Amino acid sequence: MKLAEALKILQNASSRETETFTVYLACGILPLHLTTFLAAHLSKRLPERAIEIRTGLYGDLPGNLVQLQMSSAHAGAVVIEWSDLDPRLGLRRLGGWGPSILPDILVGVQLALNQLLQLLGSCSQSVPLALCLPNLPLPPISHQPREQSGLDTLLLEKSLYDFAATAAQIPHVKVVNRQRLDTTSPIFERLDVKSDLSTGFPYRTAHASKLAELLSDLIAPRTPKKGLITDLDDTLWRGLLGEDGVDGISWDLDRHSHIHALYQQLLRALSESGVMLGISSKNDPELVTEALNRQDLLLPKDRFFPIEVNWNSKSQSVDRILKLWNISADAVVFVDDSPLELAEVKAIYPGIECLRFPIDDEQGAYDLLEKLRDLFGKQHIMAEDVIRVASLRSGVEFHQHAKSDSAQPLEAFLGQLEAELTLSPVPAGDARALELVNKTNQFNLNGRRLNDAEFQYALNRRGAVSLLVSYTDKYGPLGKIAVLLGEVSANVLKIDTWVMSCRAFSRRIEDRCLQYLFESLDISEIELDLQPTTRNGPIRDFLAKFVNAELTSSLRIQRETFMSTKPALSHKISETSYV
Amino acid sequence: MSNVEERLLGCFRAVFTNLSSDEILQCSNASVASWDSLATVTLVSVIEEEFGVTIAPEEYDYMVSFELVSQCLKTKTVNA
Repeated sequence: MKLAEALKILQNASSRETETFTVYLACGILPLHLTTFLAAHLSKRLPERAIEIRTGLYGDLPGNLVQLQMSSAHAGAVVIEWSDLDPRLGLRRLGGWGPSILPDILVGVQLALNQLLQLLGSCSQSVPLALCLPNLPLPPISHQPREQSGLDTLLLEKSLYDFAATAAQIPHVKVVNRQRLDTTSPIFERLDVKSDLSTGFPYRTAHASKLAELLSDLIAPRTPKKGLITDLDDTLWRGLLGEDGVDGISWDLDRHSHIHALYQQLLRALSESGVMLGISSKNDPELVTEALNRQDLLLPKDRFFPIEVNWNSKSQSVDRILKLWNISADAVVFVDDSPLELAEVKAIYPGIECLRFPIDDEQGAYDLLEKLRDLFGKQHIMAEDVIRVASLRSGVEFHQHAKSDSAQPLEAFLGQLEAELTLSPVPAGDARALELVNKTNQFNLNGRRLNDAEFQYALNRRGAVSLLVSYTDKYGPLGKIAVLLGEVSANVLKIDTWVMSCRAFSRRIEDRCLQYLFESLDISEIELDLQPTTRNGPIRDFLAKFVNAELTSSLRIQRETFMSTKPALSHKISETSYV
Repeated sequence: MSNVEERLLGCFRAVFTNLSSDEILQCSNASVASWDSLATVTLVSVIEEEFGVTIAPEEYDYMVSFELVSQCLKTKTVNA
């Protein structure tokens, strides 16, 4: 992004009369164009918000971190440069670069890093932080030739990486990936000596843009994709199953098909981090079963669910998979070696990310693996991710039983489920709870998304009530599936956030939650901040039974009305505590 | 208007978003309240990006009106 383009984006965004998203940019350099680029990239990432960037004083990174902590910013961007760790490592101070001074610089850098760690720890308690380590090349301080790593510079780098490793373990601190920055902005194209000496802004504009983009990626991350649908022939393995046979397909070095093994290996890693994997293949089902049972396959067959093998169009298989997963097309990636198949699926589902597996192009295929890693990258791996496929299978089993057993009334069916709910307040910093709030669409009271700081505020406000719901039944655990946030005043509970995973539908968990809240809080009324969205039909359908009027905005449910309307509930509450 | 002036006009538009094209052609740091030192630095960076030139700090003295900037730039692009 060029500076003129960034300025234009900001000009267009200046008319947004929406809620402001404020970021405090803490650095010791003059922030100048970094501010502009950060605002522009965030503005692209958060088109529904107005962006405000606050900055502090030149040359006072520790002081600016203190200001950041006291600010009411939604997020902080902390950019450290060598000159912040010791002014002699910058170009604007003349303390000497001689060999006799280097040990003193090392000591100074270590002290500065220790101080920054303390400040980062304090700041991150109130504001989530994106942290960038020094990214300019070191000045020529070493007496060794440039092709040799000097011991002093290696020790400096070591201090820095030790610092980064500790900082990355602080909750709510994310560290910019230096390798990623190196890839997009070569180190020799970063420093602008003229600008540094004349203004105190040391970055070339192209580098400032790349750095700002990575910071905005950490501050407002993209929603990771949830599911991957893969083809088999010349994709999961090399060869055509129908022609080469089960033993003729390969994924090994000897037959120059090892890139397919790497693909399998990545799919397994994605599956272990909670990504749903499905198969769409035009093939003979019996042959596919045999091939997927091969012992040398790098991911077991049961990692895939569902497996759609038939001679229909790929889009028909994709359609069945999406329905079974119950997620929207834009949360899914489809991988196939055939441009025709990709185009066919894309035509029916424009939202799906369709990626070609390039056969006979190892480099291209490896680039695909990197791209997939990016698309599915997530901050945390949670217990729910590990059991996702199992709970998906059990959910299908659940619905099949519920539908097929027509002789058995629904009450009786639900009664024999051995359903068990665990209800507790939302623990501070619970990543799964925040994930549910920010990715649930269908059973979502108003579609409101919360960042870290807003989430913490909701949990700590006066009269705060929060509920985190986990579910299990005889078909297996679903893990944490619902979150509810609100505040109680007098006899009324006002709920402003309520989400429940679509995997938990049809079990009357939502009724049980309301009953629990009425009884445990001993309240007479619940007010819900409902806002219709294009996708929250399920929660509106649920709430409609408690009111007579059309549901358009917030509504109130009286305790008597609820108790007389609610269906029979047979869940066991296994654990409760103050909510 | 020359090609250089057209492109320069685009640079000024990016920095001084509230000025019309006619106002930009006549503008100077004395007539535009928002034309402070920060605006000068931003303008210089935008011009450097657009024209692929380097404007030295001592040349900042010429960055005070559209006309002077235009003359300075023509000298640079002719000499380049």
